[in-house]
Amino acid sequence: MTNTLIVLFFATLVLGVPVAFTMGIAGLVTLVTGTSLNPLVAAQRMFAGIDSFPLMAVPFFILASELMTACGLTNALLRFANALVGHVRGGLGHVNILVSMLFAGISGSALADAAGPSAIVMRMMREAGYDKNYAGALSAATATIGPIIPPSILAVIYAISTKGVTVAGLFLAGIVPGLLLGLSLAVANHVVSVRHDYRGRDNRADTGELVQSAWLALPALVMPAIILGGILLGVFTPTEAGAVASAYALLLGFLLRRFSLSGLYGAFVRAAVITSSVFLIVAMASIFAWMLTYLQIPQELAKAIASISQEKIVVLLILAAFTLVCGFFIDTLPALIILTPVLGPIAASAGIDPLQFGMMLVLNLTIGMITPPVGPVLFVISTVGRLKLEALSRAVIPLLLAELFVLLLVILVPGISTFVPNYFGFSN
Amino acid sequence: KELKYAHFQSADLSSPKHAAALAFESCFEGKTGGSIDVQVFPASQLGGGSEIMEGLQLGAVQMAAIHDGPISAIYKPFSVLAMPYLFDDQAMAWAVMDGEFGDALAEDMRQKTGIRSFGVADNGVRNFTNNVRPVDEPEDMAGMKMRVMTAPVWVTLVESLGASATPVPWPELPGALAQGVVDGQENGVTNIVNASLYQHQKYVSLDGHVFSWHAYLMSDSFYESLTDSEKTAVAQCAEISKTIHRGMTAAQDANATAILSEKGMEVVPVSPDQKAKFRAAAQPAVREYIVGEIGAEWPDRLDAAVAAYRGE
Amino acid sequence: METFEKLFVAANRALVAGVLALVFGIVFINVLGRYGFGSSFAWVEEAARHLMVLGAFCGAGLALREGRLVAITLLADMLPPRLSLALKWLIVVVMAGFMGVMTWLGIEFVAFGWPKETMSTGMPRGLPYVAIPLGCGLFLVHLALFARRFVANDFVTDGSQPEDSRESQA
Ligand code: NA
Ligand code: NA
Repeated sequence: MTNTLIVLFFATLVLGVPVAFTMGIAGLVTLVTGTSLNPLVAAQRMFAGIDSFPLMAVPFFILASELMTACGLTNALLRFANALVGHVRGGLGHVNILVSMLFAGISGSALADAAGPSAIVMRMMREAGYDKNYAGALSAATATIGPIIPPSILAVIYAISTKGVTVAGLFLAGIVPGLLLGLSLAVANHVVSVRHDYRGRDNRADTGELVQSAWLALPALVMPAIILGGILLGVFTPTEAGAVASAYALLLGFLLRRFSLSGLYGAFVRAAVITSSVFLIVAMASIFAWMLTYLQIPQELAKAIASISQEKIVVLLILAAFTLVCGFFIDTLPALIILTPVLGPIAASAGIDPLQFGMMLVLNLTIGMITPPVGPVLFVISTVGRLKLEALSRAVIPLLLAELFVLLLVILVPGISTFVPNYFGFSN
Repeated sequence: KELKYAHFQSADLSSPKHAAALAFESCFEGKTGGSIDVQVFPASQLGGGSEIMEGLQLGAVQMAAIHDGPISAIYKPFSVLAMPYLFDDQAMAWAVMDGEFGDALAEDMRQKTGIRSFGVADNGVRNFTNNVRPVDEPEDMAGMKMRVMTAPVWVTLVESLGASATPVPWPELPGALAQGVVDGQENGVTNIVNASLYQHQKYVSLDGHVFSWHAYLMSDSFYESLTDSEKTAVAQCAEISKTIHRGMTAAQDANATAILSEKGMEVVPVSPDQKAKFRAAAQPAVREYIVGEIGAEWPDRLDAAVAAYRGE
Repeated sequence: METFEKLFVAANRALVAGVLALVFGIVFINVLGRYGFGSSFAWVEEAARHLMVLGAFCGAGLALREGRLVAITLLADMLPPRLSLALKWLIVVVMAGFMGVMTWLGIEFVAFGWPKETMSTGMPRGLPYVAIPLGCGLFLVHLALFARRFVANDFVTDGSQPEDSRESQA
């Protein structure tokens, strides 16, 4: 039975069946052929997997970022970042990083960043004479900041399936790692820029330009404050924060007169369809993960790892290595859904803080988005930028190392993930 | 043969449900000489309450210890047990549930749902906690935002006491309390401690409004597939599990003051007179709601069982 | 046929956008209600969940059209064109088979859930379960209409597609 499940999953995956279906098919076939269960269990799991209120933060944050883009505020963020750091060495590279960090405060998805602001800066970098593969690689790498800095779709999904972890707590846990990610990429960009002599824009933005661009970006810049502030002050839950963020974007669009009726309708349709593609994966993965549990695979794996070591740091390193390998081959979201219930209890019984473990898992799998062979962000950038995957993958290596360094820090120093949430009273 | 046993508490021995489940496993495997392999799935591993109730009917699990909410969703008369300020103490609650009333309810459920109950153990006596002020009379609750489970009967209860009810799903509750989305909530000591709800709640009033339950349930078709000696073993082992479960939860309820003060909460006692005020405010409203939902038969039988116990 | 397809897609888009707007509306109003009027509705949480499940399943076919169902296309890219084409058709058949089974199981599941009640609104549990057969059925119709273009990698792009967004942002 276990073999059917695993073999079928990888076979359909390699054949090119959409990822959501690979998990549904493997789960359903195993259920029907390998157990005496009523096949209705598959339908039940599919429903139950997405029948969750906290999960609804996902469509709301997707909607909010669609509406913000429809307002033209993504462009305003870009101009602001350019005025702020465009003049230093490798300036546009730093703009790329900064705009991703700012956008991350609105959006919870790396793909949204890669297809949106990062893709725009990539084009600007190429026009300014940066190597096209480096421009693409940096855009891909910076896009991964999206799900680390709150809000984060991945954080929502980890938190709802982990006892004792709140969405708000994990959002807060992402702040420091997100900043570190930006910092480490900035260092990498600086090193590359010195070597290739990439310059910044000729003149530093004068105060007037800076103030004006900040003013225009202000509505977008206060969005993270509304989301996090609202959650921390107890005005609303993270799910409701998503709805409030959407309402805020909607209000802005009307006040700024940026919406046409068709544009507004389009934003809702897009958000709904993106939500569907995410939820379909969650629903199908829920069949798959349930079968794993039913066949007691996680329980066996936990015993195996426990027999190697009980030492916190060793266990965490083993889990991180295992996750990293999974991240090469499985897409981020399904990997997260499968691994959380499998690895979470192992981490818990080793006494690892679930906030730290969650951050490790989310960051690790997010880094997997820019590693071949299965690297969704890499795919988007290579499509948008018409870049060869091989060349792009090579160019991403130094940036990947910078991100792995942050991952290592997150593993070795629990406080990076736990300090901020603990400060606000989220602890275990 | 396999017996998959699901429950929702964490997998450590301080969780009453888990201790009871492990006791069932060793008891039943011992008595059946290993002919049936019991596999315990703690911590909602195989799904939440409603899914496990369906799972019992679908054969996804054979046995489970499930709290009252999800049972009521499939078998409505079970919601009669949400009647507030009904039992004087644990002994009375147990006597009613172990007696004729409990048996009749279980048998009716078996016929209507195909799920067999081996009786109930405590999910704890529910008390109000809040972060605003000590509450020892209904008036003190005026204006508070009180979290309730997402079922209307709890809204009725809380609003009849003058607070405003905010339905929040269980997984969001710790966050909602931490962030102050709600001022208070109501739960038994076990839940208050296990989910660390005390971290963000200053006051707990020992009003004991509802005795809530975990029922020990088994798929009836699975039960019927057992041999006679296996059937006997199930009943005996479920009895042992319930005893352990009741003992652990009741010990926590009995020591509520000590346990919760140690966690830093201010424990507010509620005298019988004060409790009578709570009862006067809440019971008629909730009773009316329950009768509207399930008719008067089960509420009447419950009242009769309570009266019979008092008369003895 | 083409008119039917256009209408069908337009109706499906309106459905998912409408559901999302509705969910957004009731959740947001519940937040306002809690602060403005000190009360919120018990049914909102459950209604929002079930509506979102409906929207999610019903949008699956649209996600297919827009090429949003991520897959590893390495093998198809490496194979010679004719084999690659055959593989793509195989994938179509596999998806159709799975969704066909799920539609059927979904209908059975609705019947299974009908006698039970949902926790907070007390409607038949089977009602929200309708999302599964409905969504999977809609997906099958989309697949039938779109299979040729799916095989040809000819996905529908809208304003959010990377190529277009480059233009609109320029
Ligand atoms: Na983010
Ligand atoms: Na970027």
